Amino acid sequence: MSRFAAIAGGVLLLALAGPGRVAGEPIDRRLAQRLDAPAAAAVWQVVESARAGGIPTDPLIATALEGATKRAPAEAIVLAVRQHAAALTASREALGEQSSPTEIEAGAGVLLSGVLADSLVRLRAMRPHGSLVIPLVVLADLVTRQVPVNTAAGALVWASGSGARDADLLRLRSRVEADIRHGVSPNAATLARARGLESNGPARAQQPALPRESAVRRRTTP
Amino acid sequence: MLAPASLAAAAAGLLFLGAVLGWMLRSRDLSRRVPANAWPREGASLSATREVRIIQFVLAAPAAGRVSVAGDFNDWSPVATPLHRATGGVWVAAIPLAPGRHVYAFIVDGASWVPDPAAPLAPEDGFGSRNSVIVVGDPEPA
Repeated sequence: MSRFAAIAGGVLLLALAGPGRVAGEPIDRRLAQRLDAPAAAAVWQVVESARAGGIPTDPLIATALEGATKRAPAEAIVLAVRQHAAALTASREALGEQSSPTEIEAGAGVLLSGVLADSLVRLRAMRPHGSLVIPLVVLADLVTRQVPVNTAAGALVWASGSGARDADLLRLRSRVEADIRHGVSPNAATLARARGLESNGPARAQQPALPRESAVRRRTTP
Repeated sequence: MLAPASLAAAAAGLLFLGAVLGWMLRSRDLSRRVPANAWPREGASLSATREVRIIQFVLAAPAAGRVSVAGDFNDWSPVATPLHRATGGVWVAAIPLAPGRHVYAFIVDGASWVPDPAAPLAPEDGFGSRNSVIVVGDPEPA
């Protein structure tokens, strides 16, 4: 090939490998449009790192966009994204490498609510092959509603071990929420409603014990 | 002077590289435009491949002048998904969502972020307000 052709081809190849592509994928267009440049770059660094580690990245971008919409300071957005990435990583470790992205995301929500990773491990042991998305969503909801972490995690592990279905867990959640709204303590409401699941399935030999409570102040009927 | 054969070879090379460049850029743009859980702007084709379901969002807010819903499904846009006033002070929107876990909140009168009273809560979002969670479909059947 002539020198002219070689130079022309070289110029085109340089255009392909321009500065925006040397370090990896270009920054997501939505981040670039809605965050200032340093914040977008910092978030994108977290996203790229998560992608390299096999962690779901859509939730991280969503967190950044949520912060932008809510007009949070750039530092708060970057911090929230980093915390979310750490929670996603810990969630995958606790739930197992074979967990689905939705399970990992739901597990990260549980960890961000203050539950320890050990509870995720125990939940997975109760449902080694079934989806944990609903149990995890219910657990995060209960803790966010001020149910003590040990009570909420214990109730969900116990319910999952007793064969409770997703519909049972969602019903448990809505009844606990209603009880709390009517003045029952979150702890008592959760224990009482979890006991109400006892008749739903055969008890398993390895089923853990339901957390105990010293004083149930008020108990409501379904 | 270059020989005609050399010029022809150079032109063919440039055309090939240009075609490769165009294909790469187009593929990347498309993948960014249709992320896994994005608002399905492209309608029927996306519905057919992602099993998008129509979810109805409802909020009782009799005193509100306008209500919208923002979440990961519309890139947290405060204006993309308005609810429509129905009877009895209830606001309603029907939204196609892909299966999975979605986080969202209502925005009342463009200022107040309100979690869905009928849905599970998401943990504190780090931005000072509460969100809700909806699980669409059965992404990983037991």
